[in-house]
Amino acid sequence: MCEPATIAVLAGAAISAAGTAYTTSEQKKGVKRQVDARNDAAEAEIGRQEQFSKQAQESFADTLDATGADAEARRRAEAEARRTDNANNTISTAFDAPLSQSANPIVAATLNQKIGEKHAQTQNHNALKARQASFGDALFGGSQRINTGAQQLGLINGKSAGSARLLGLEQQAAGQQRGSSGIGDLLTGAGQVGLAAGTRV
Amino acid sequence: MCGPDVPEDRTAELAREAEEKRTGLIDQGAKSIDEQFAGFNDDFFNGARTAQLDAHSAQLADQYKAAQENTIFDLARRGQLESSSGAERLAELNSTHNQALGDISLQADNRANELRSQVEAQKAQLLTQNQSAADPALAKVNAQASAGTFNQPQEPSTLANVFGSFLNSGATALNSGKFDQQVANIGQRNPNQGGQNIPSSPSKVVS
Repeated sequence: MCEPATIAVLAGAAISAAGTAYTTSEQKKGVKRQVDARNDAAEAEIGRQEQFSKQAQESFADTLDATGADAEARRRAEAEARRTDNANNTISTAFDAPLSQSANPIVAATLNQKIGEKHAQTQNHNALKARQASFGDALFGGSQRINTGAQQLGLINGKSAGSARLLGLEQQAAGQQRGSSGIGDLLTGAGQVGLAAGTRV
Repeated sequence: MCGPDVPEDRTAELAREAEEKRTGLIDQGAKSIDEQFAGFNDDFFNGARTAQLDAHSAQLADQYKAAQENTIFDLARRGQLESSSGAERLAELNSTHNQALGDISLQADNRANELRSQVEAQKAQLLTQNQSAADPALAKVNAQASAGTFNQPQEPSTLANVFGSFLNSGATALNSGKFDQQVANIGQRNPNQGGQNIPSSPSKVVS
């Protein structure tokens, strides 16, 4: 029982078994490490994509706020008021009437009255033209906001796509992680050497 | 255990670094473009509006002066300067002037919008190029060149003739005078002018 050959066989078998067990354990750990690494890479990418998504949502919400019905109505009203003021501020009832001192006062009064009437008419026309143009202004302002928002979203999407493209590569790299240190293989080999030696004796 | 060490595969890591660098360069390029276009603010567009308004107002003032002189001269010649119809004509002239001023203002607003649209389109194009090129130096050069085109002096537009009917009033008045004379002559025979005796009511022709 305690002969060297028996001891060698038993020890060899035990060492070999330990080596196999170690290798199996290492393989499991290796697989777990690969899965963890892949999961980590995916989670990190998901985190980045969530950030991009949040930025995109904020940008889009800003665009919606700036182009919604209320904003458009406000912009149109502002444009109408601004254009009306601009146009009416340029006009005047002042008129250097070429009438002589002896002119009939009724003529001068008529001239002033007609100028006043036409001034009011012009003011009214200016307001109407300003209102007409204000719709274009509101749409123009809205489309500008949309374009700016689209540029912003394009930038975010570009970053998002660039980052997402790397996930496959990172997961591939995670799968290439070494699963074994070789110790188990060494033990198995040594055990088999012991077994062979004991058997031969 | 033995033999050369297998080098670590750093492809993914390097790719991630490259991507972060790329996005950083894009951000830098976008910032450069923003900086180059920072001058195109409300003040710039208001300035463009005022410039067109001033140029057209000056042209209009010249036109108005000529039309006013012509109209006054014309009315005085006809002895209508201090009459109700003369007052009507002068008020019409003043109204045409005011309407033109209002229109000039609206056109100046449109011009400012047009410029704003052009600037935005250029900027959007540069931002798109920047995303592909990811080259802040190039983005800056292009933005400088692009922004520079808007700062170059532009050919001033010429105001169309607003007071055409008032400038032509002399000829109209002359024609009008002849017409009045013809009307006055109607119904009376003037042998010296070879006029015909026009009946006050149409003749009835019986065949």
